[in-house]
Amino acid sequence: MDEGDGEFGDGGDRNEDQFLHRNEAISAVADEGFLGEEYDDYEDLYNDVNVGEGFLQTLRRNQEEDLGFRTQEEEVEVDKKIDVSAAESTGVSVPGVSGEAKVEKGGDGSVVASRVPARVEGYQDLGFRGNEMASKGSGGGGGGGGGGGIKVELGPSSSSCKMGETRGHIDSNSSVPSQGIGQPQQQQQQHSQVVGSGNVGHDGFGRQGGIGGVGGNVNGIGGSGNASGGASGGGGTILFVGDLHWWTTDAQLEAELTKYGPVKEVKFFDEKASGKSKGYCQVEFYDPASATACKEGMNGHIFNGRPCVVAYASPYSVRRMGEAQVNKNQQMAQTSLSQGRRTVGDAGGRGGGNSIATGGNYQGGDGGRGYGRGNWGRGGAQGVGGRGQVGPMRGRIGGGMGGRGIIGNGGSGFGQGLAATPPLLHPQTMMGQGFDPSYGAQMGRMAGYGGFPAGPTPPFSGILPSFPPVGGVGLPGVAPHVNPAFFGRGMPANGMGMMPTTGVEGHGMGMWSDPSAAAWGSDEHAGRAGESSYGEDAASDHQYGEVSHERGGWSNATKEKERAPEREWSGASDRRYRDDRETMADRDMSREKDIAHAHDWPERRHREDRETVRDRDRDRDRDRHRDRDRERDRDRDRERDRDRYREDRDRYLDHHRYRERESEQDDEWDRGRSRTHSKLRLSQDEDRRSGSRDAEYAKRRRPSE
Amino acid sequence: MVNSIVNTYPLSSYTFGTKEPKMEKDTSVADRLARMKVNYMKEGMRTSVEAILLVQEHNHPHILLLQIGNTFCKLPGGRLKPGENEIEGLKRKLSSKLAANSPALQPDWQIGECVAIWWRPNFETIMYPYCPPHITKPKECKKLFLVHLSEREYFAVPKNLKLLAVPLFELYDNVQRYGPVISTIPQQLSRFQFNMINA
Repeated sequence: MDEGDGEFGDGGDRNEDQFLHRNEAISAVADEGFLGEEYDDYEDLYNDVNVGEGFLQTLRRNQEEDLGFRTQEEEVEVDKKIDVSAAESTGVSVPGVSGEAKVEKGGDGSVVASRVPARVEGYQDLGFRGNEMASKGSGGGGGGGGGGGIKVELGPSSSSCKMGETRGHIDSNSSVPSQGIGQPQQQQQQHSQVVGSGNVGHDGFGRQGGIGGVGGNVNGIGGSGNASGGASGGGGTILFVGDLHWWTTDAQLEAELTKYGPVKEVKFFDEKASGKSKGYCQVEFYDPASATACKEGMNGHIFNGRPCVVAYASPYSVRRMGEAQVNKNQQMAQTSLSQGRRTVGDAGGRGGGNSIATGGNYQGGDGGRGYGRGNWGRGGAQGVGGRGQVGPMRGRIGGGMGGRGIIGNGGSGFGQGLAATPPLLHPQTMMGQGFDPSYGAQMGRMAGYGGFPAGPTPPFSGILPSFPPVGGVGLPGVAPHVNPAFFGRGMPANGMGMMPTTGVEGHGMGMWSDPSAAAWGSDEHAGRAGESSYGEDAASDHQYGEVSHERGGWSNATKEKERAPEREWSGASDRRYRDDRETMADRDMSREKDIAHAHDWPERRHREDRETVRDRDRDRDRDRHRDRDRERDRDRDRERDRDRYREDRDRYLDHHRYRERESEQDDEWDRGRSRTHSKLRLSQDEDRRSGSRDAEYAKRRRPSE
Repeated sequence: MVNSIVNTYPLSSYTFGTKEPKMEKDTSVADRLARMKVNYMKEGMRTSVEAILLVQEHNHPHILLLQIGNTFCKLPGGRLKPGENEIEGLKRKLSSKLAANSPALQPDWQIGECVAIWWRPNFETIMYPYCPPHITKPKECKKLFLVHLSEREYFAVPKNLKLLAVPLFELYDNVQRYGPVISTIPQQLSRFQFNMINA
């Protein structure tokens, strides 16, 4: 993407990510069609990537063999499902297979017939991932199959972390030395082993296939539970076991699992906010045969009166399949809600603990208060679904629900204990969202009931601005046209604040987890304000001369007051946009929590970049933002956040200086820094500031003043 | 025996000194979790004990926290040895963290009741005040004990740590700064009656 795209300039990754998330949302249902989609996407991505030392050489070699063995390969593939798209994939993947075919045919024709197709399957799966992975897969295949001279190094993967996981997964099964790194001796050994056992090598590549089929293939599995893709992808040791009750214990599961073989690990997926099980887990056997036996034998087994689902998976796809399951359950809850007009609790209990407030609110909304929004009911249902989806963000959602409760109460009767309800609102739920014009209408109506605006303001500890700007309660997914990822207004302002808490874990300083940081993040301002006063009470502060955090505390107090008015002034739509992105990112973050921290790093970095750009775009007053950054910077030790804030601060400082300089430097800066500066210029002159990106981009094109 | 009355003395009635640094065994969260895993394989579920030491200032209870670096606060305490008694283990940990090295100056720790138990279901940093229903093998159990301080004590704080007296109102509802365990201590202590003794 060229920089001329303005905000989207750096969105090369972002777009991909968005697309990826979109894919995840769809993945539950689609199979082949989805497969093709994703493959196309990645084909562009990896077309010109040169990975590993021997990549190009291998490519050439593989292509040579491709010519020779295409026909042979097709002969062998009798009854195996072959993805057309994958088959048409680069020549790299196929020769890998044919390379094996050649070797195997030399050895033992009959054995080959059964084995190679599986490998083909595996490599086709890999193939759709893109050239790079295909080549690696084929290299691995060549290496493992006694490879006829093919030595492809499964070099350090520059592809997504999925590949990394693939490799990690391969590592975990030591029986197959299919690192893919050319090891002639091992190849030969394996060759003989393979001929003998027929299982080991086969499973190794099958596993790669299973793993390679991460995105599309396994999603197909997730969708159907026992798709043919799963069957043909056999040989993996990792299974997805889902459709469990939240009270089904790991002991119960293991008791059943051990019947199929020794179990290496059972990893349950829980909701971070509550610890409650999400109803699915990742099971890893030592032996792929056990996995296969378990998949066939235990699929549909009744745990606590409910049949489970067992499918092949990779560590990555387990999560997607699980989310698909969660989404499916929520949709079921939603449909029954909108149909039966029942409370969430009745609708299947998926809402769990969240249903209590929801139910109350829903009924309040349903009381026909004439909110003027015909889709309120639907919104309510979506709100439920949204909440479940973002379960980890429970703290915030609870606050949002409290807010809805206010609407319900206010609507149902003025003077009906309105004073009581505001305190229910978690301080972080920002009312001043500029969320939805119709909300404003509702609020306006409530204001008409008398005295309402005055009421709740004090309890919100000064964070809530004057009432009219209050657009609505930050309940995600309430209105269908509002992005479900949209959260309380407290989010964007605290988006940066939240980052530090997420960073905490990375540095061993914090004990608390990331998704809760989303819920806790906006409290930091209150906390910091308090810190300054508490600082004097610190016992050994005087003795040990530690003053730094006091300093931070004081500036925090002032900045907090500054921040509150800032929120008032900011345009509603701007905030909303930023909220949207950040909360979506937060959800991703929480989802990613299960992966090792190593994986978090690139994700977080990327998300920080995104947020950074958005932050820059949205702030009108650079000074205020810069100060806030600086103060935050001072306040926290966490390196990553410090880096990020320093980046921000540097940029803002640059902007500041830039503002003061003459326009002669503008062109240089323009070329060098592009959109940030253009946005800055625009923000200086508020008249010119427009919400439309196109307009901004067009303005940037014009010569600077 | 439930003793609901807690005597608290002002900060000034205690003396604070320093001692050699007590470095963290793990340099990162990942290290810590890895070590936890190793220990779990060897010894089973980890039991850790932590102490709530209270002083009073301005007639409000303050809790003594050890601050690492500039932000991270933790309660004094630590992991029990396999088979060790909780009370004895807590006394050992308190002396290790807060008592002077010389045997003459060892405080006589009065360990009160356990006010909270937190569970760690997986090898992660998250803990809950219950063991989630689907977990039969939690990885750690952390018990918080109230400790009754006597009127005069001498505390030697390791050089790399700071000892802070944090008022309860500062902890309350301040999860992002103190975490779920410490920030909910005010709730655990709300049932106690504090006898604020002035110097």
